[in-house]
Amino acid sequence: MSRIDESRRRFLRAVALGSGARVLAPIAALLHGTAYGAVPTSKKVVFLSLGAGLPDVFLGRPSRTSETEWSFHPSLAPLNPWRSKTLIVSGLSLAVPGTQHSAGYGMLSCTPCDGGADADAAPRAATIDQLLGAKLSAAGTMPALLFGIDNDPTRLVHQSLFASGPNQPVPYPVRESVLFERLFPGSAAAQAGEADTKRVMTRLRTDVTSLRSKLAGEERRKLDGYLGSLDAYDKRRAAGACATSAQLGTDRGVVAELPGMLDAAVTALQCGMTNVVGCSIGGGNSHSHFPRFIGPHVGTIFEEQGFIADQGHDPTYMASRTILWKWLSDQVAAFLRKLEAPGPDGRRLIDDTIVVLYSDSGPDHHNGSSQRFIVIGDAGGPLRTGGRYLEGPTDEGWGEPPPNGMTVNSFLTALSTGLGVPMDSFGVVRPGGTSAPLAAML
Amino acid sequence: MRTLNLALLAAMCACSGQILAPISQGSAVGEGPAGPGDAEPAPEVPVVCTDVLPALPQRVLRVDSPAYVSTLNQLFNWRGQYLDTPFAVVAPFSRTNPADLFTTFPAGDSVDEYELDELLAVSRTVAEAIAPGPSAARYRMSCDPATAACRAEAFQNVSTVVWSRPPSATEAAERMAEMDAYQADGATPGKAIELMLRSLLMSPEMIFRPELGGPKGLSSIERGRLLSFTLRGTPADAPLWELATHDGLLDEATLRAEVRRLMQEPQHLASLRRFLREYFQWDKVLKVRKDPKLPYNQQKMIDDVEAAVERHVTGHARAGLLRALLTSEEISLSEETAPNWKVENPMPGVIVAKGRPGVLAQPAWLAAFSEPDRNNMVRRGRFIRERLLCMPVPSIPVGVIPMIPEHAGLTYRQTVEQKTSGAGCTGCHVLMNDLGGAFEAFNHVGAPQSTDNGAPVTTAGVLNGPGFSAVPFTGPTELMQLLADSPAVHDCYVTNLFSFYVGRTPTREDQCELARLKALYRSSHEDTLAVIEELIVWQATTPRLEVTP
Repeated sequence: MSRIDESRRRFLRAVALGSGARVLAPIAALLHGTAYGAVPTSKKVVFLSLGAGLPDVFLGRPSRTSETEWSFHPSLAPLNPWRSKTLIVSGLSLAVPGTQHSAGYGMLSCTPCDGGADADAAPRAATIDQLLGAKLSAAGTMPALLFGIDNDPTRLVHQSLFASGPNQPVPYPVRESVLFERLFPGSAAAQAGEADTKRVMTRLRTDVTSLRSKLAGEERRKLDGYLGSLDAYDKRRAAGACATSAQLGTDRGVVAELPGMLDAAVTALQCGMTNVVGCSIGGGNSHSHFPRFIGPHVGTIFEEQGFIADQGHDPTYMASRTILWKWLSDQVAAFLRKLEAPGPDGRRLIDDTIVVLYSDSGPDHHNGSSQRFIVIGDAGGPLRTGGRYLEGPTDEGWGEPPPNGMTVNSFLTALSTGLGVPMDSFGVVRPGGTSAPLAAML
Repeated sequence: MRTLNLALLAAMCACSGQILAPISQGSAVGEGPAGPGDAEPAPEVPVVCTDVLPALPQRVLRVDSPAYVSTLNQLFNWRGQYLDTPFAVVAPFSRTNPADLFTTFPAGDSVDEYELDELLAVSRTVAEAIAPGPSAARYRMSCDPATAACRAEAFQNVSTVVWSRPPSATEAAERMAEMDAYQADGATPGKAIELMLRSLLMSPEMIFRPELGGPKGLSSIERGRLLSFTLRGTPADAPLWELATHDGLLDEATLRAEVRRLMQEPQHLASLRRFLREYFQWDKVLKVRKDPKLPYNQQKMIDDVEAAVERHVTGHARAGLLRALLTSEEISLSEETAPNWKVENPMPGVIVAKGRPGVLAQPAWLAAFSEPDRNNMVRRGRFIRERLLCMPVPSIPVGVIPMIPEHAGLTYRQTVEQKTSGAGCTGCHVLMNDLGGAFEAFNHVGAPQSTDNGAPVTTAGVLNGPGFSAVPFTGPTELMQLLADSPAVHDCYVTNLFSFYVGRTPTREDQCELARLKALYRSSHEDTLAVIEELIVWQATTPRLEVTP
């Protein structure tokens, strides 16, 4: 353990925290100065994804003469305070068949998965969060903190959107309680049994090592994987001590749980557990629980509408999505405010963080073309935000995406460069496309 | 000595219009073929088979969720108190990788962080429930935890179940000393036992079933585990335990007799039912949502197909099971699914539905391979090509958007054929369109249809592939009969049985055994249970390669 880490932990243990909050907001501010000091220049990135599409009319088009004259649709108005730190990139080509929900892992991997429209299809490449996590979170306990929400009561863990490699989906919890256990096994709730668990782990290590010694090659690697999970648990437990008073919220249900999960993500960033966060809100086909998925729909005409299908800019459909995105942008705004909380040294998480907001279902849902992202924050450069709106040469082309110079690949490589992880190429592009960093973003 | 000229061709062709050879055994059958250009065709390599079986590598098999849960249930059984759900926590290992051909493939996996979390939660819950303590509880052991006898009993009984073998005296002494150490460290006697139990419930020998064996194959204990978990998905019953723990399974005749005993009642052969469900994938219907106004009771549709399958397993496991599954027109239906079947005079029980050949003409399967609002004949065709014929179909090329816009006056099939008739598409779609097109006799909830989008549907096509050269068929009944008569389909079935029961796709080294199994299947008049028996005996008796760690 480094000297800085040790002092950080001592500080964290000494902090007296109130009770009642989930992952207490005050802890964030208190921890910030010291905990954050351990990795003062680490850039962070947060991917927030909502299923069911992000229509172009929600973004507000720029005028032909100015990339800065635009205004958000009212559903995204909660993001206005960060307008000057925003960069919208639209009209991006994605070389992934358009009917795949969650773009079949393709949105963040830029590689078609196998299995057509099956949301449970296997990925065929690593996603950008994992690649960035390997660099940015090397000193943390996990490459990326991944979580999401889903209204399906039978699902506790999803595996869509994120992958560490071909056929290697990375699972993520879709319940606050599972996320909490994963992040804070050393928290107050689990403290009582920590010594017991330690004894069990010690015994397990001996047994696993013994069986491992009889094996070689692939078979030995299975046991290595078990040992690796035990090691990772220890690291998480140690890092979780950063939030010893963290408490699981008492509200249940997806709408109630998401704020608590985003709070937990803030704490994880502040504790140095990771520098990459990925959140899937209704991804991996769980968008089909819309509109019942989202509480604000309850009691409206949309509650009984069934699932959202390909209705493009149909007024009813747009009205339904307006509710969804208003709700989401409220959550994002609350999240951004927490990132803005200054530490004792005056430094704020948001100054080192880039938040990327998008829909994994494409612009209207089921679209493989004309993808768009809302970027908030520049993590100190060189990403150029400034309230700019970059639009690709094509914006529509439903079902027939022509190649264009701007691709999701080039967006992600530029983003990566902005995070201090230069990347010349990424994923698969259509003929005529490129994955070189999008120069206009930098 | 035989020489097999195996077509170890690339599973992924460039889709230039040629008909592909069956998926090579060395490639991952159904694992998701790579895209065009991912692999160069490999030259044919002869495999020489002799009467001496090549050794198998030592391995450990990661337990799957049903096996873990059934072991826990056995633990409670041992106490005479059966529990279906002994804990209100997530069963470990219930996630599966969509790339896996069968749910037995996690045998090749490790334990990831989420699975470790699940194991921690389950082991804590179960250990707390059964460890002796001051207060009586339903499942709590009743002995005095402060006594050595109680601790010894707890270890002996639980380790016996979770390891599927009696523990050694050394192991017992070690755990007793460990519990002493826990107590010396401040734990109560009951807590010391609880901690010991937690470590047993997560122990590598429970999580990774060892198949280390030696020059004469697996040990008797390992053979016992292989039989019980592979065939029934549970720990050994009393007769098998008796044999396994007294080296009784080292004798091949006894081993075979025991395999047959466990398969005596084919309708109770859990593994075969599970194999068939995963092979045909009718339960994918649960993932396809449709307009609530449609007749679409997914569970009842599954009940229909499983009732039919159960009858076939009972009647045909020893002869012609696959043939029955592909062609039988005997169906079961319920009041809820009658609108999907649309048969005349629907009656409860078994009836014959003309023009409904086998599992693929069941509403559950048809809906499982459909879109929310229409058929998906390409996916249906791909299933037949890949699953029944073991022939690869390349993935959709990058840049292709598989949209099928509706055209006035054209059926869905005509639209698909029009859309895929170009030079860049037809090479792959010729492998799928006609096969899936045969099932245009039914709509996307499995009901018969004679018109689509105002035009009459067509179900005729031609079958190409190994043993077929543009063989015409008029509809699903003829197509399924052609497939049921095809040696290639039966060979493919045996290959899939191998993959399921061994927990991995066959490698090049497995080719001779696979060829032997296919020959046995043919000579035994398509006896599925004979193939399963041979698969078990082969795994049990084949020498294991000693590894040098």
